[in-house]
Amino acid sequence: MFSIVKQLAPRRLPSATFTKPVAAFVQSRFYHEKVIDHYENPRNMGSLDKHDPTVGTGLVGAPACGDVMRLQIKVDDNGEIVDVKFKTFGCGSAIASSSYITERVRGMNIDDALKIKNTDIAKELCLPPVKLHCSMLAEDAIKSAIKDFRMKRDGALRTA
Amino acid sequence: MFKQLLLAQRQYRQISALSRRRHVYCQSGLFSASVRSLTHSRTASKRPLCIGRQSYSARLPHRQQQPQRQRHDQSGGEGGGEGEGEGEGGSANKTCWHCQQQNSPASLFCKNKKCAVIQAVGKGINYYDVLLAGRPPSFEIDVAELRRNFLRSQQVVHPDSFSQRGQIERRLAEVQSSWINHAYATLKDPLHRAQYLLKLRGMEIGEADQIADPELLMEIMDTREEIEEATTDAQIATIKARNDANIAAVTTGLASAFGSDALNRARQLTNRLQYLRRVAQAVHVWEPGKPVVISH
Repeated sequence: MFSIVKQLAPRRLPSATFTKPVAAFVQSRFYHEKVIDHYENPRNMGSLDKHDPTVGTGLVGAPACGDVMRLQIKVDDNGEIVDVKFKTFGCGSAIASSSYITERVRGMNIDDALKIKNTDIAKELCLPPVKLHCSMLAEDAIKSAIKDFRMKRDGALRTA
Repeated sequence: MFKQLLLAQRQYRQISALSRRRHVYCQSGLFSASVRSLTHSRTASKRPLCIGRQSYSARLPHRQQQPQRQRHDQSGGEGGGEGEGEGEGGSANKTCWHCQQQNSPASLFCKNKKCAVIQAVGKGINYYDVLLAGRPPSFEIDVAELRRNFLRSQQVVHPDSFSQRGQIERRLAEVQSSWINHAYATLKDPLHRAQYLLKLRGMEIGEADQIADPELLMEIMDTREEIEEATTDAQIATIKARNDANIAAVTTGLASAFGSDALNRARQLTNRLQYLRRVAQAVHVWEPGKPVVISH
């Protein structure tokens, strides 16, 4: 029980025991335990074949910081996401957001996956306000991937 | 024995003459002063004057800004008098907190000669007003002039020169100095300058804006993957050369885009430059065998 509580608590730096205003600055540099976990053990990192007609590729960038994120989903005939891979070049929060979203959408229907909001991701990873744009990037990535898949599928249906 | 006495007397006179007229180095150069005045208790506290130079009190910061005041003061008129209503760039004149004299918004010190205290940062002014003599904001600037103006401004407003002044002046000096530092950092770097120019025109790139075209993102993604997979310095050198060439091309493009007022194109190029800069950072921190981690 105590170990679970300890896991959920933010990882503290050794010097953060005083309560001066400096502590507020130190706190803003915290990465939540979950973010660190996703960063050190990323789930579903890699790539799928982008020429595969059942694979949708979403490629998004954050203009504010120059980060790029690629999310690929493999969708079966029922619209269910059977495989998902990501690759992100960015900060720890961006990597964690994309890693988390790949975990979340695996096994989901693409219509349900479209409903995921960046606020869910931010709440789950306890992202600070300054890193909210990373969760927004992850949301845009999944939407872009689904859009790409649909374009491919509709294109295939038209030519078929 | 008499001869020895004469010799001794002459030597003594020579030595006395030397000790009486000792050359001492002062802050601004060589000058001569009498040793008596340096050691004598009554005059020891007074710093010796330099020949042909200003006195010590004339070199104090609040006296020194007279030539700069005329340079910064754009609204015309000399000394104390009625303030002019028209400011620079549509921003209002600011009132001196000490003597209520109207000053131009970009001025660092009050133009009233009797007052001459440091002013607060004006409202509605931009970085070009203070660091580039109020010229219209442009992408192409003289970096040497910018640096000269920055150093000159910091010489007069740096908080170290205000350590003996009152609390209000010290605070204002901190604020002014910090603002000028920020202004210099923004205008010096082409990316930040471009972002600032877009902000001045109301076309800032926000965090939520999705303006990058897929080709650019794919190009950046491929380059970043290349950097990740690189194993030798030679490979990295090739990538760096290519990236530097891209950055140079984008900077030239930005100069022409801002020059011809093509703001949408400028926005696209600024976005592109941001991504290329990130790539340049990755190249810079790359080490063989280590994962590339950029913190921002």
